[in-house]
Amino acid sequence: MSNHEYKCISTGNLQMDEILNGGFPANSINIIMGQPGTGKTIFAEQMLFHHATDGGRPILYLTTLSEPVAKVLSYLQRFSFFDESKVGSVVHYREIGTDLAKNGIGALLPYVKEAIHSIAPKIIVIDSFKALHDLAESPQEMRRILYELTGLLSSFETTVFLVGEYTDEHAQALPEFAIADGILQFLRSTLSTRDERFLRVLKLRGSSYLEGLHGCKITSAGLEIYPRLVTPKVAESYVTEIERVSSGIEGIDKIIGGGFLGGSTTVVAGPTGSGKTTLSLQFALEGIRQKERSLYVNFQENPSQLARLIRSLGADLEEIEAAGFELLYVSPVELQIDSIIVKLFGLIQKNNIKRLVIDSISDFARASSDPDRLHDYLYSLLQHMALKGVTTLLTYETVGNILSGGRDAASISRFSNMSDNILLLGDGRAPDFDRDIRCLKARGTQHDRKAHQFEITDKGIRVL
Amino acid sequence: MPDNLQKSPLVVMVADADPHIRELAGYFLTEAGYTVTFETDGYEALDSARKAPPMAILADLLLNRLDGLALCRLLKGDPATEHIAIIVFSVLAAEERARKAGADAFMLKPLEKKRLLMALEEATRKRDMIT
Repeated sequence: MSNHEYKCISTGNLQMDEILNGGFPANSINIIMGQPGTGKTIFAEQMLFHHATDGGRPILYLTTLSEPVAKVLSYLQRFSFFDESKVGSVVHYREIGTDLAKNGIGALLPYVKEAIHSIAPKIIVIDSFKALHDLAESPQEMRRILYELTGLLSSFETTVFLVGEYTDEHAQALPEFAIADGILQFLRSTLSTRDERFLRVLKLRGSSYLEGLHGCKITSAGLEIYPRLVTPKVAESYVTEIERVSSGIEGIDKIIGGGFLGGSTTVVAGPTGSGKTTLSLQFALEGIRQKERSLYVNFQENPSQLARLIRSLGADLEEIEAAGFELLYVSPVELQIDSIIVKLFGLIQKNNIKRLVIDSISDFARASSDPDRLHDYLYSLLQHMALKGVTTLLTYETVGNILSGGRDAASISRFSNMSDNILLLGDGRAPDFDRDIRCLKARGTQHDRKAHQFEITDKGIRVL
Repeated sequence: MPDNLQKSPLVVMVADADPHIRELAGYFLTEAGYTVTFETDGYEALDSARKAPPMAILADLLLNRLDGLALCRLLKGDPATEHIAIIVFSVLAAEERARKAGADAFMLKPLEKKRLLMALEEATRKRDMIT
């Protein structure tokens, strides 16, 4: 049995290391691929500055025919990870595009060999490696140089990153993808006026990495990465807590058999103006009364609007914040589900949140370019909440009467699979009531199935 | 010890089929002041070591025809060559096997100058303590 230790080099980004199960394998050859503007060069630079330590082994950054070093450096200075004092002393930039254009791609090998002799770099980045294909006289020449280069790089203790504007088609056809130990792909998609960035690991030899698309964002600190939320391993066997959690509305507690089960998830569905936000706020405020910390995630009302709503229910935002009420407001225009989930998860863990409201998941759905991915994300999130004993309430805005097969019937049915309870708020279309509420589902509970009339007063919802 | 089998204080033999390894190890060792000879095959390495024993041998475990461990056993089992410091060098985490075969030091591939020189120092120090 082998006792060979699997050594990794950190990317300098905790979330990326989590995705890669520790980092890239030491002394490996890796490809960082993606279309222009996807963040691959920023990622590579951020990683190498993380490793640029005074007195440590140097780092070599070779630019071919993509961008001149001066241009790369002038933009890099805007990022907080960049350290000007390391350039030339620890991080060595060399521009070899002109020489490659003049003497052919064979000129790359002497450059690399000379660098190994003179500075013995622990990391070598070649950006863009794909550009070498444009300079090669034939695919055979490219293959030969690649064979020589990988032979040389594999014999020396160094970790190599080949950066390039590769597409999925290139990944199927070009020889460097066969020899690579790791392949990291950066992607960008446009949703309305907003860009969404993602990354995914396509290959990582000898490692159980986190598969799938992970959200990312370019900030002044470099690349922020949001690993995909995965379902906890014990999800199937979770048991909601027996303890009942009051909704903060006596009439609703009665309808659902004495309150929500602790750790359960409830979808509150209804059209605009039906009272979903009021009900959710009452649930969160009841948490504060019970000395349970509540997190209210809101995409519609900004903090001032929400403060007004809270005041109208007889509470003061500042006072309840001091008592454990947390408000996470994100503009629906800036909403990226990956980053929200990471923030939300961090807050829940850090502050021992016991009640969570997401108002609304319809905004999540609108912000997501991929409904299946959103569904998986929410499912995983709710499984985590159940395990942590966080009682969760999700609002969902419907259009039309879903009981008679309106257009939201399918969505509600889908959310039903992942929720324990569904409360449906009407908008006065029930024959005899102005406003009505009914419980469509309450897992594990004998609940009242009838529609009940309710009113919204200055103290909130009151079931009649 | 016959004259032709005297220790060669600054000669290091690099026995590896990989041309890049030979070139890089040769460069690092020459730069550090050693004279370097090269072999690509286990039997040729054995033959050369018997004819002109170097101070040390850096032997790849997966040498052709006669592997690095067998080469090590043969040289360490012969009084005429047992004084040669041997470093077994491999991509395999085979330190235990290398030590059992009599290697004075073991080094994992790939090459790095500082580790190479440290392994050489460890191996020659051991050899000096014995001889």
